[in-house]
Amino acid sequence: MSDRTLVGDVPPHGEDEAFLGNDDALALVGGTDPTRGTRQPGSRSMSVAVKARRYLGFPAVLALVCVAVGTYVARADLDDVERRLLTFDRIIDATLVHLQLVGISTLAVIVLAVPLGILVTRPAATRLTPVVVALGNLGQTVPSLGVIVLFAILFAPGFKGAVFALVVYAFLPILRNTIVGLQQIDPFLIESARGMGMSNGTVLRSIELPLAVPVILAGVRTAAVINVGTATIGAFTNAGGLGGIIFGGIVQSRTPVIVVGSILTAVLALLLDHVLGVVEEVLRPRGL
Amino acid sequence: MNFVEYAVENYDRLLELSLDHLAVVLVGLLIGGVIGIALGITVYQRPHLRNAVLNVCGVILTVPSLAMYALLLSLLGTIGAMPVIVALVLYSLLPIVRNTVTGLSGVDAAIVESAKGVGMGRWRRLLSIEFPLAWPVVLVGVRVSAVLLVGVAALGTIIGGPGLGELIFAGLRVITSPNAVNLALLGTLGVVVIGMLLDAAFLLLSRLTTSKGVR
Amino acid sequence: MTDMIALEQLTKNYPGQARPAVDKLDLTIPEGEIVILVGPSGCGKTTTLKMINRIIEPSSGIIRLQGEDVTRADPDELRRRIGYVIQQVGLFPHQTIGRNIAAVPRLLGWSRQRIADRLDELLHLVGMDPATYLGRYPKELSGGQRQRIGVARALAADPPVMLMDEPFGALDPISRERLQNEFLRLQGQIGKTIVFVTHDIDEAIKMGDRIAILREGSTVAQYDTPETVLAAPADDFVKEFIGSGASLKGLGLARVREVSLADWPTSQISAGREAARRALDSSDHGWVLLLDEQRRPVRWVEARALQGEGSLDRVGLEVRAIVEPTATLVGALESMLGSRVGVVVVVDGSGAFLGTIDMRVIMSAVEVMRAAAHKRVLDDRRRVRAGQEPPANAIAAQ
Repeated sequence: MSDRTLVGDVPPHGEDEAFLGNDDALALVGGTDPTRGTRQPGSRSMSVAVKARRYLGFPAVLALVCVAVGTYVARADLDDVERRLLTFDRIIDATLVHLQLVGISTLAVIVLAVPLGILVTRPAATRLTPVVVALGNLGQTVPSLGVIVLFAILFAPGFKGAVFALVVYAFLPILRNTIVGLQQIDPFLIESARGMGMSNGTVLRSIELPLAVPVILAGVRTAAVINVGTATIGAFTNAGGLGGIIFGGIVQSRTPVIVVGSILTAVLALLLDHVLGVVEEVLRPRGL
Repeated sequence: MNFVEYAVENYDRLLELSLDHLAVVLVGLLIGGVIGIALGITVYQRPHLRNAVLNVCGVILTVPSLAMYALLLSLLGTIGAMPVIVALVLYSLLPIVRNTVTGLSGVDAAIVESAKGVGMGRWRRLLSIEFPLAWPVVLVGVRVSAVLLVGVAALGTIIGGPGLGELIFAGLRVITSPNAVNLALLGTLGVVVIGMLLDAAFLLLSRLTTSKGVR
Repeated sequence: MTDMIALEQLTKNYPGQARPAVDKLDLTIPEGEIVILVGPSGCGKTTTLKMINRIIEPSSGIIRLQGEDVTRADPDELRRRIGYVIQQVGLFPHQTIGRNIAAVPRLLGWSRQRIADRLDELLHLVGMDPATYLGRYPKELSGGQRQRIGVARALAADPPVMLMDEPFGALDPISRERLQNEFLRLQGQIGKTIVFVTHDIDEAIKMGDRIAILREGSTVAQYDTPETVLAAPADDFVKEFIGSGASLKGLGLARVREVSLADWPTSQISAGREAARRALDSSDHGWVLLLDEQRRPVRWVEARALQGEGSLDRVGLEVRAIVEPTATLVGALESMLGSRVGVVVVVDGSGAFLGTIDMRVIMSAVEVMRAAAHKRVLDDRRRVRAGQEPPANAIAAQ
């Protein structure tokens, strides 16, 4: 497959997706994509009811799961250890820390990787592009556990080290999707824009970036969801977050704690994936 | 002790853990491959079922691996290779099912009609025409899964699974000792190397098993 | 002659469509003949063809093959008895040419030796060298070669019947003609019963022993030999359909000098009003054409403008639509459409009046061209079937 092949999870034209060829990111992105599969060309004119069902249906299911978990925690016959590990405050606190880990790192990556991706796709730097893409492919094989642990050892265990590790780990998907998103634009489009007298900067702003947005956003979504997962591993290096609850459950051999922690983590990942999927659809330029 | 010296000194352990790691991944991939391809074949002509299956596989892949391992630990009530393999099988499904579906749907309708026209039955058509033509795409799915599983398997150590994750956790346990970095780096690079080797192996397999007529 | 295939009240309804794609079709295909199903797009001809080997299952009705009701027979068994060639060819890209052709024999469990012998025979039959081509893959062949292999594959197990769905439709005109001729020669040797779908009336005339002209719902408008269809079209639909060939293309090639011009009342300006009035009265046209001393057309005049007295220099309309005999009929037609009178005046090199061209002249020219074209196709077909050399542009396969 060529470099044009879509990275990550969402192809540019909403066709059937597949993991095709070398250049496909290992997208840890899942099946809650409101844009997946059934999207029709006229989907923008969907009725409010259909929209609501598509956008809110899945979060409603997730909310039900959370309610079920909450009810279980409130009613179950928990022992002292379990009750100590599963206080409401602990759960809220862990969730907030988790969100901070993911939010800070993902934002940092967007700020760093998108401009870099734009830079290396400028004509002057085209020789760099394949190198970066190849590095991106290599990066897929690096285990998140290794990155988290190495950063904890080399710098500092705890929240900061985990954020750095997440930045490094999420960097490549976003960088790669930015590059591929910019590269997959029909060169004739750019040529004709230049032919109309647009400057390089104008072409970038008004043609290239808008057309690359869906692919870049797919990369952001991939990275964010990967980060939710990777952040749980931060529990091993005292970074906090929902991983701490799971880890505590494993250490104390308390199944209810493990189950609650795991379900909440999964719900968070699925919810984020869904929300970013909706964002992707809303921000996709009309006509694409 | 620098990293290279350390690696050489611990060569035996590294090799043993690497082989364990590879074994877990290959077993998971094999089972996942069989299930995924079978699922793909079952659903590719049934749009509703196809979307449902792909969505479920997508949800599975979105579940963070620590949560998955922890859930399986509780669910299966056992530690060791078994729950790790179950997790790997689950994670491998989306790329394999999706590529099987895409590959099979991508077969030219005229070719399928010809196969009907010469009197091939449903299964023969699938086995001798459609699946061989979809094979390169299916194999890409398997390859993507393979690389994915190599990384995910590293965390399997947390529930007693075998493999290179042991080195990384060992590094974490001795975080203040000078060997901590060496241990964690050894484990991490070992995973990277296995991932790259598997990737290359599947590329080679794809070349070897794809008919000259469709290359 | 016995019927190889009989379709009885064959019907295909698609869900959500008010009218059936094929509506109670009765048709019999005699043994050893090429029967062409031809008609405008959407008439149901392809659906009809694909119901014969049940690629499309009929909604109701009966299909008989050699007298046997096969409507409920095992479709795979049925298809092994029927060769099938489609426009897209549909060779299996991952299999060699040999393996492609051997598809049905393998399904039928022939011995290896028998298959090998048959492959040799078939490649010779379609004019390709077995040693060169058996091991190749479809992508290594040209479009024409691929369709030859498609035909060979359909013939592999020597089925009594072949179904062909626009088999030469995707080829360039030269390859198409070449393959048509080759196929007719081949049919001379093998004498299969062939049902052949096309939308091209010229191809139908050339290839068919019999033509079934279909209208919407696969209703038979006429079912007869090409000669009869051309000589005695059953109704206006058929007449229009067989005339739908490339008439405009012919008009672009034919010259004004090749058609017989229509006469027109003329009068010399110098002869005065009375002479012009007389010329107009003696004809049934509404306009008279005024000529100058050198007989060059000058003005169109109506009866109304001829009343009264005075010079004729300024009455009526200037003559604008003028062509010379070397102009094409398309050129003449264009001028005519721009003329108020609806007539184009033909003049010689010195500008002197020769005659006029009106719509009737064009129409009769089209008729002549059509007849000539159909005669050419029929001659062509006769020649090819008699085993003579095909026309110049159809040299044997490379």
